[in-house]
Amino acid sequence: MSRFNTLVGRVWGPFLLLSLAFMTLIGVYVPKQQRTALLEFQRQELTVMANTIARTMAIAAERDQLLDIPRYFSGIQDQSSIAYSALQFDGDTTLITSPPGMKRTLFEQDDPLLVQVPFRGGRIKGTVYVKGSGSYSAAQASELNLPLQIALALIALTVAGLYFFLLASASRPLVALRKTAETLRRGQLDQPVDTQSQIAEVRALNLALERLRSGLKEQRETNELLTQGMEVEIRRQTKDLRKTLDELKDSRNLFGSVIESALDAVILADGKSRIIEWNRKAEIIFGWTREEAIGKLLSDLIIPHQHREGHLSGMDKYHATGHGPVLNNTIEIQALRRNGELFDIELYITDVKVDNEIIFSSFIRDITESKKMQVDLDQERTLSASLLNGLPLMCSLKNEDLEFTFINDMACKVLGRERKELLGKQEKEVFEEDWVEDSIALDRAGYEGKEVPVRERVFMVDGREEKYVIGRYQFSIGETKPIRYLLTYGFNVTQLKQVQAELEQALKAKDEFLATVSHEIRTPLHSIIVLANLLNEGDRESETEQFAENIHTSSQHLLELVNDILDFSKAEAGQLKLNPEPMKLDAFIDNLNRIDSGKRNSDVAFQKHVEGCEGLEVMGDSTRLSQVLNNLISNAFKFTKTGEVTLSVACEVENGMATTTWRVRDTGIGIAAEDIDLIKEAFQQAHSGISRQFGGTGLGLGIVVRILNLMDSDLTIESRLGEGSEFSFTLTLPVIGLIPSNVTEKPIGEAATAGLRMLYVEDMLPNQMVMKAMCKPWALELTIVDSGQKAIDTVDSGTFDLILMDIQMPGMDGIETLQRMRAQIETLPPVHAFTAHGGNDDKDKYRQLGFDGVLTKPITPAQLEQFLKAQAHEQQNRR
Amino acid sequence: MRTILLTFALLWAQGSFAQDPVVVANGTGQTNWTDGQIMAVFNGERTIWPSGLPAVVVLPASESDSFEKTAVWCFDTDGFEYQKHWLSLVFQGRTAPPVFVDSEQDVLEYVKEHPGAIGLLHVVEAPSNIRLRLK
Repeated sequence: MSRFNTLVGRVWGPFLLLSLAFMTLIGVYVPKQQRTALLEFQRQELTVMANTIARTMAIAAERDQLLDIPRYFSGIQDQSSIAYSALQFDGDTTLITSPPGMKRTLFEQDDPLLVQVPFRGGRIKGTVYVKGSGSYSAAQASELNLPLQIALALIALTVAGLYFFLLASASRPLVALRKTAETLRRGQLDQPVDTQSQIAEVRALNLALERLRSGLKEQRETNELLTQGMEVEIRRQTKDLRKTLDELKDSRNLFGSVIESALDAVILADGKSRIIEWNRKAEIIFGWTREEAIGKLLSDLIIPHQHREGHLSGMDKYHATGHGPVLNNTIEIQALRRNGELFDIELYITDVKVDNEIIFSSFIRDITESKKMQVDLDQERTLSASLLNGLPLMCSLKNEDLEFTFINDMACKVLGRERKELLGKQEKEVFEEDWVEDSIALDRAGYEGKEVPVRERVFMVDGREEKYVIGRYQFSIGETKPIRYLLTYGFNVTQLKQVQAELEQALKAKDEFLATVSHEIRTPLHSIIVLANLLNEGDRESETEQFAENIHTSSQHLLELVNDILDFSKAEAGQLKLNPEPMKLDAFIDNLNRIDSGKRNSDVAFQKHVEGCEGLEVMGDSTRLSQVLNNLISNAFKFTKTGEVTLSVACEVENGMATTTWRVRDTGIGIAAEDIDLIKEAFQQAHSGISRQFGGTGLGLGIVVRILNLMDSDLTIESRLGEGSEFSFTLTLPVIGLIPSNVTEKPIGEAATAGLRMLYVEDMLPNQMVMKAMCKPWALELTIVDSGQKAIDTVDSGTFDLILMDIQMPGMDGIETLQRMRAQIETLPPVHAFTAHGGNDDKDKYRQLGFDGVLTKPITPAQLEQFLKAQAHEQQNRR
Repeated sequence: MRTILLTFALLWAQGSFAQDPVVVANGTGQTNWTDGQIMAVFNGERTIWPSGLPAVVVLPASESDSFEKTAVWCFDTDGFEYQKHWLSLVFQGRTAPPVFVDSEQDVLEYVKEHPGAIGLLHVVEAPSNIRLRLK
């Protein structure tokens, strides 16, 4: 459009338009009208020709004048208006074309130049088609329009010439002017503008341009100076900017590197909680890759369902107020892994505004393991604290500044302070006692790893003085950077001290006891050994009886001593047991006699007072009760020089139970009040001089007390020094019978032992000799064998009336011998075990093993005689 | 008798030959022809003789019996179709049109007088000099 809005265009345009309209009228419209007319003319001509052909065909068919057809055709075929023709006979489908071979479709289209005319000649009917040439009318029109076209060409040439003339005379100066302006615009100001144009207007414009050029040139020179200065400045600023950009790039790279290599998960999200950065650690913790996470919402990816609503409300609040409850705070919360697992995290979120866009930076740490470790550690600490608190000793920990970092319950209690008063403080800040200074010095030395002595300190605990041993040692925790602590511990040694004192006393008593026992054993042994030697020397017949009596007394004393020691050891081991059996109190009391220590002291009388016990039969361990009373009576006689020893027994029966009170009173040396409790203990006598003066081991009363305790009783002692003592106790025994007083019980059956056949199985020759010696006066038929096998070989049914079997024999012992006898021999006489294991338990055991009774070694001739008489009596009854 | 019988046989034979058309032609330049070669001339397919003369087919009037017989002999069809055939050929300019005469005698005369002409005689006797021998 701009091309026509030029000076030439404005001048030339209307003329050009008129010329174009005229040429269009002449060159387009007129030829078109001519062609239409020519076409119509051609069609009429074709119609005439077709009619002529049809008529010719009719004549040819009717008159056999076929020669007219080519003749006529030769006339019309020379005319260029006909393109081709066709002939079709009625009843035939074949279209006969001229020239031959043309397609049928050419004659079936709607064409103004296609004319068809029917014909009929003789018997033949048909149709003639004639098609006019399309180029004929065009050629005719061209021929007609040739002059017109020549005229139009001349007009066009004239118009073009006029255009170029105008262009050369009017437009060219203007174009030169434009080029000058362009030159100026491009900054080419060195070439002066040509101001010599013949056209006044152009010349004026060139002058103006020249003034403009010179002004611009000056301006440019000025600008160049300014530009140079600016370029220097810009270069400097560019350099600074590049440096800043490099720094920024480094910073960004560093930032990215830091984020990527961060030990925590770093997640950046925009203001809509959409993830925009997701580092490697986040991939590891949450299981989503960076590509999967970027662009997703935090709530869809890592926030558990239960927290999503809270997250959304928090975001709304942030957008409304600019504050968020979790911002800039480290919180612990649960998060969601890709596999759906919930786990604990430590979360720190901060917000930053970048280009008016809020960015939330989240730093996330998986604390599952650390939390578990913390729980384990807490449990361990609790356990340790519980253990330490539960310990029955003082325990505390101090740090480098000797401040309490831990103190257990016992220490708080002993020190009389609450834990909170002590933790984090030094001893001197809490305590003012004298021991503090020494304690701090020891603490310091102990903390430095020096060996420090233990200290005994006395504390007031619950109003009592308690003694503690305080020790210290240093220990470290951690391997790389060990932290040292000082452990202070304190044992309560109050009871230990007491026990120690008691032990020392017991040891002393035991030493004294051993000395006493040694003395007590050596003394009768000495008598026995010496007197036995004297008996063998001869010329001592007059003294034989005295020696024998002395040996017997010493042996008896030795036996008692051994029995006491055995009983006491049994009692101490808890093996002392009662064996209740029916006992008649009358007979029991009658059998209690005075027991002199050594030779009978005629200055001391023995009295018995019995009240309410007549005819009573009770269940009780007569052996142990006899042991108690004999012990008391023996002691009474031992410590009484003159006066009397009285046994008083009082019985009261109520509800089938007999309450029996037993008292042994003497008029002896008496016991000091402070020694009364002491003498109940084992190995104790009132003082060591007692042993030297009166002999004895001090075991007697100890055994008495333990037996009475077994019988649910206790020994009561009343005494005055120099006036005598009374030992009493009460027993409650079940009554099983009451025998009228006028009925005297027959003594246990006795019979003459003469002729009683007894087999004694004993491997020890001395014992065989003793048995022979003891039995000699009773005219027994005594057979002695020294082994179990010999016994089995010797025994035959009815050969012996009684067998005494030693238990402990080499090879086959007494128990096995009995079992074999019972297996091999149909009828055995009574077999009694004869053993030094004479306790109640032993007796029960031997009875269960098949022995008919048990005799305990040693046995006195009187005891043996009584036993044999009883056996003889039973033998008579069996016969 | 023998002669009588032989004469009778010849007459019978002549009578029989009189039933077949006789091709007459003038100046063909060749004596022996096949039926097909002659039929090609009568169908307008061959227009030049070996002698170089144009072949001119002489036919009796289309309304005559001879024309019908000629159509049957040459075209194996009736005269109507034979006429349309020749109209088509002429319309297309493929060949020169045949010359129609009134009778077979006229055919014979025309052939005698015009070199290159050829005709077919069914009834009229033709001199041997213009007869064509067909193999």
